[in-house]
Amino acid sequence: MTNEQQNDTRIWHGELTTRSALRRRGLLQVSPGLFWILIFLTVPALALIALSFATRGGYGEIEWVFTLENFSRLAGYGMFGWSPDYLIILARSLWVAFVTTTICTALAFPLAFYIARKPKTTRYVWLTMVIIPFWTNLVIRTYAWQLVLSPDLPIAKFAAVLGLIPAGSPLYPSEFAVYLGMISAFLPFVVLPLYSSVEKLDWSLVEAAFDLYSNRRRVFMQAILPQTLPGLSVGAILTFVPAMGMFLIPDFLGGAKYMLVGNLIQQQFGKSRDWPFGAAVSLALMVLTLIGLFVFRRKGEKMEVI
Amino acid sequence: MRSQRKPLLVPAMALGTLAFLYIPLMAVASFSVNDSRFGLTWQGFTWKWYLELFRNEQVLEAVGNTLFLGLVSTVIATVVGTALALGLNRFPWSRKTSAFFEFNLYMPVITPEIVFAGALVIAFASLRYFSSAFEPGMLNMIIGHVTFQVAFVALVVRSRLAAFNNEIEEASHDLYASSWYTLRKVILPMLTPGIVSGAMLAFTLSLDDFIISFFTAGPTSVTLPLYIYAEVHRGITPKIHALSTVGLLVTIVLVIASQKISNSFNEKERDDA
Amino acid sequence: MTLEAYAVHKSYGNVQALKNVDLTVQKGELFTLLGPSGCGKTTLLRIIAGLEQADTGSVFLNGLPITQKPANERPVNTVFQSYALFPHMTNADNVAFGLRSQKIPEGDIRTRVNKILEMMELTNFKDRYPDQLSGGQRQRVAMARALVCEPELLLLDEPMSALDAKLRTQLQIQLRRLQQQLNKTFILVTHDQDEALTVSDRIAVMKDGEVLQHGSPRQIYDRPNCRFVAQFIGTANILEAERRNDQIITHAGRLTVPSPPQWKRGALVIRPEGIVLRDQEPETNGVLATVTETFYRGNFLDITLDPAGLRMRCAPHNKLQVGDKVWVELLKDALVAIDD
Repeated sequence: MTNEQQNDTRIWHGELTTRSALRRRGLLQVSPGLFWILIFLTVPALALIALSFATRGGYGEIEWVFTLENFSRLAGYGMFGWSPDYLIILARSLWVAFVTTTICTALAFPLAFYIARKPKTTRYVWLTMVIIPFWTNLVIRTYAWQLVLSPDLPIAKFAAVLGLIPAGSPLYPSEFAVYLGMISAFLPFVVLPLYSSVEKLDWSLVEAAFDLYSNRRRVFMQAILPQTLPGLSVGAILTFVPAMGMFLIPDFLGGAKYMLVGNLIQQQFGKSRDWPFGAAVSLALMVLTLIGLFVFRRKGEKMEVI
Repeated sequence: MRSQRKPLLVPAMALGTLAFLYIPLMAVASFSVNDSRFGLTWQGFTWKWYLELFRNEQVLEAVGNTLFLGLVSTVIATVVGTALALGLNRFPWSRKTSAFFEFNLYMPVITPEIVFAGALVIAFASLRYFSSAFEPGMLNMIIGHVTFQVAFVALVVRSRLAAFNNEIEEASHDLYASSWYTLRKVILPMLTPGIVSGAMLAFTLSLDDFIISFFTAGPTSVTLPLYIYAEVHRGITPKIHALSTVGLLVTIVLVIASQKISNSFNEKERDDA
Repeated sequence: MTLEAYAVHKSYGNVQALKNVDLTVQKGELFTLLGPSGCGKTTLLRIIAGLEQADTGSVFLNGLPITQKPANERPVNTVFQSYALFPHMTNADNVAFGLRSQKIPEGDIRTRVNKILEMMELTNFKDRYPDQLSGGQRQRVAMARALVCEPELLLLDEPMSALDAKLRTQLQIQLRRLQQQLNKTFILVTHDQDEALTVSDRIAVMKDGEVLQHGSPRQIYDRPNCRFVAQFIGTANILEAERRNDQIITHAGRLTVPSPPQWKRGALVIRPEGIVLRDQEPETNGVLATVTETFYRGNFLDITLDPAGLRMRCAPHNKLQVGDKVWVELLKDALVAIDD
């Protein structure tokens, strides 16, 4: 009995059919979605990579002439000598994302534990309270900080009294405001996954650790942290990656002088009409993000080993 | 549970953090009823900023656009995404093909939004060579939204599909059903909770979206987030506070409603026989 | 004849699930495929159902070939081990499924469904959902769903395995009654030999993809043809034996059998019931044995004897103690010669 691989009949979940008929059906189902993503994301993203090596024409059009100018510009070699402006923006974004992730994580732990220790009936109320800002539109949440930091409200007034800012001025645009915005934006991203890990915590291990170690810090590092690592890593990634590319928060709260990568890219695809440069910056963003993720993984693995 | 090692520190930090999250929102809500056009001193309670909203054509248009965009893109993404999940799961693709599919499926999820938006700009610029329909506007927005929604819907539906028991399908065929009948009467109904969660997720992602809408919108297809963004740059007025508070209230309603819906699904589910 | 299968062979990669299996099931029989897990019994059942394809071999139903027919064209229905009830439909809709898929008019469907629900005592549950029922009730729904389609053949894949032991015995009897009442052909797959003996008209004992022996429960029990069958069903005393001319020599001494076997070395099988206590040395096949263990079982006493670790049963009021010497007779007709 000889059968060609393609045409041999087989039974798939109770249905008698051929491999080729099954494949045809599979392709039919997969194609619309697959092609949608291919055409509107994957292929253009690859084009983006190619675009980063292209030249910008005089009127903002694209000239497909190979050049490394975009990258050298990014590294600071502009028309008037070397200036680190773009590199500062890249470094700043990396730093802001990193600090945001760290502070969010630090604040997330007490909150997650607090909720986990509440009785089961009220727990979901507290979770809902975390979810509500989480689902609220980022534009609303961010401009709201402009309101809170305005000169008539206590926070700015207090800063003026301390002499940190001139009297009567708002506490934004400023780096401080950007951090406030970022941290409050990303907190739920860490709290929710962390909470799901904390909820499943095996407290008997923690109790055993209390008996073993007199140092509270060691109890935390040995018994609690490793168990929460899964939720923690999800939260950290969900914070770090978008924070790297964030555009809205620095736009509202950082002002024109305080640019992050997201603002830079937006500028190239908007006003400046320099798509090749924008593509190069996007590429740099992706690379930095991957590096940052890699560093996080290493840290995470180190923590597991301890 | 064991007594806290730091009795007050944890609750204090926890509640402080929660307060931190709510300060901006409370501020907006408070000032939305403040009877003062400029400045932020309290001048009395008023509903007038809310009433203004209902008369403001731009606001109403933005609301309409947001809803239209959300509904249309969700419907498309749900159908396409469900089909995608079915196709991925129900044929033993070779490892290479499978890897290719997975890569594309995860692209919308892992790509930073700003890069995603840049890619869309390039895509539409290229497509404009073929047709002027791809000018920035509602069509571009719908296409852009569907692009990321479809991945999320497919992932949600696929995870439900993976938990399926083969015997159910075999039983269906054993009972004289064709594949089409099985799909219609057995598989899709059993997938409905997953499809609905996927659709809900897609809808909220669309309503909430800023960056992708920002890069694909045209002058007549402004959505609420874009409208607020433009107004903030123009200068904050109490009208924006009112609008944002409405947005906040809608969010609260949606969160509670979705919790109720997923609770009812969880109750209806027992393990398959 | 209802079902015939010839030369069925099935491999999964390197594993041979079925090796050249033949099967014949008569109309109106309750036929059981019995064996340990991995013996191929479920694979064979699924091939008959159309849910698996044999590598080689053919299957005939009432003389007509069904080997190439898809499952949904075979007048055969299956009760799955997990019951596979549709969780999103009521029990009544579950039962009606196989009729609706054939586009039978609704009026007819309703009548037939109600009738079978009544027969299976499920009428009160018809508008509930499968997840609201107990295991035994779900099994009845699965059976009703299959039987309402009036198939030529009903296949049951370990239908009792998901139920607790007490319920099992009760349901086994009910299953047999149902089958006889409907006069339908059932093929049952199980690893439970008690179940096989209780309900079957005929049994096929399988191991490693082969049918070792088939026959009525009595034949299988009284006359096993190999060591495995003897040990798989009931308790077996196996005596290694050597034949010298017409005499069989075993650890229990010289024994006489009804018809001497061909082999020189082999074994004899005798069931516990084939060993009887005697007051004195019996004429044939007598063994002077020492009691090594006694187990009181309420309605009988199990004893283990030396030599050869013979196990037997006797009346519970026997005052035998460990260490007692007794005469037992190995009934000649109860001895079966096997050669593996």
